[in-house]
Amino acid sequence: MPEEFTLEPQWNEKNGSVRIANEVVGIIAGLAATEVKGVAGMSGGVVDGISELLKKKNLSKGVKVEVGEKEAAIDLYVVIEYGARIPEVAINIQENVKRTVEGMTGLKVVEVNVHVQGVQFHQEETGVPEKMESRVT
Amino acid sequence: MQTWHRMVIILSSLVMLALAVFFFGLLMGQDPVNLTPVVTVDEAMNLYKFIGFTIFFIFFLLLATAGLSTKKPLRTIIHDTDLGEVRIAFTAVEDLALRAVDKIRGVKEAQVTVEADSNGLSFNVEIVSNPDLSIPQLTMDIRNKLAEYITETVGIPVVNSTVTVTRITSESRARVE
Repeated sequence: MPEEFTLEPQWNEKNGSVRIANEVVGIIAGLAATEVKGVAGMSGGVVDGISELLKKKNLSKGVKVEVGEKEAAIDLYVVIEYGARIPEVAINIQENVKRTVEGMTGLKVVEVNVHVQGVQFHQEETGVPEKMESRVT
Repeated sequence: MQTWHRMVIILSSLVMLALAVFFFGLLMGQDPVNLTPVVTVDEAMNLYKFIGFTIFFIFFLLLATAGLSTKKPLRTIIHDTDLGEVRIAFTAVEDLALRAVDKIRGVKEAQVTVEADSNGLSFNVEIVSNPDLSIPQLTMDIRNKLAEYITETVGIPVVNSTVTVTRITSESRARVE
């Protein structure tokens, strides 16, 4: 069984114990991060200064999760959309991830670190730059 | 990686290479450093010689790769928040700054590098400008727009921007399509 599927004990109940896999917490955190306005996606790492944007199915790859018995700490590697205010987006990510993970798993999220790896420029932004605007009609 | 760390790794890789060469010599029936009187070399132990050679050669490759690697750690700007840290990669800030500079009328090409200290960010901007423009006005525009844009989007003040006009392009800009 691969290491990422190792199950950590969360709480013991009368009829047994409920355990949540690290990867499940990672996917929940990844999805919660990408639904925040201004987030282009999760980052798979930086190669030659260019951040790799992960597809939806690889969400947990841009997330590192440490899960204890009752608490979790999460690191998110994200790419932000051009035009967004980074501190604002980062705080929204932290709040949304904390709320979602706590709501879905019952774990207390003690830390959500956001790593902004790059900026994605939209197609329309690369179209006609301001300096090339025609001065005549 | 610090220079002395790199030196230690490279020296270790050379030791591993020497051991790999020694085992390879034994495998080939040679004794490159004349250790036969000290180390018993049995012709029937070729498998052990081969294993020794393979292990030391792999160690050499791994250490040499690590020692000669020029991969730099990703530099980041750190914000502390109530819920943890927000780290913004320098490359992301440079991309944003380049975008802001590139949009200014009169800038043909640009290169931007960023440094950070406890007071804020410092930018070094190198541009190729279009001809027939006031360079002092252009550099002032770049400084003002860069400071305004970066402070707004990254949330950290810009304390210094150095703008260098490296070249003035000779191509005249088309005024109509």
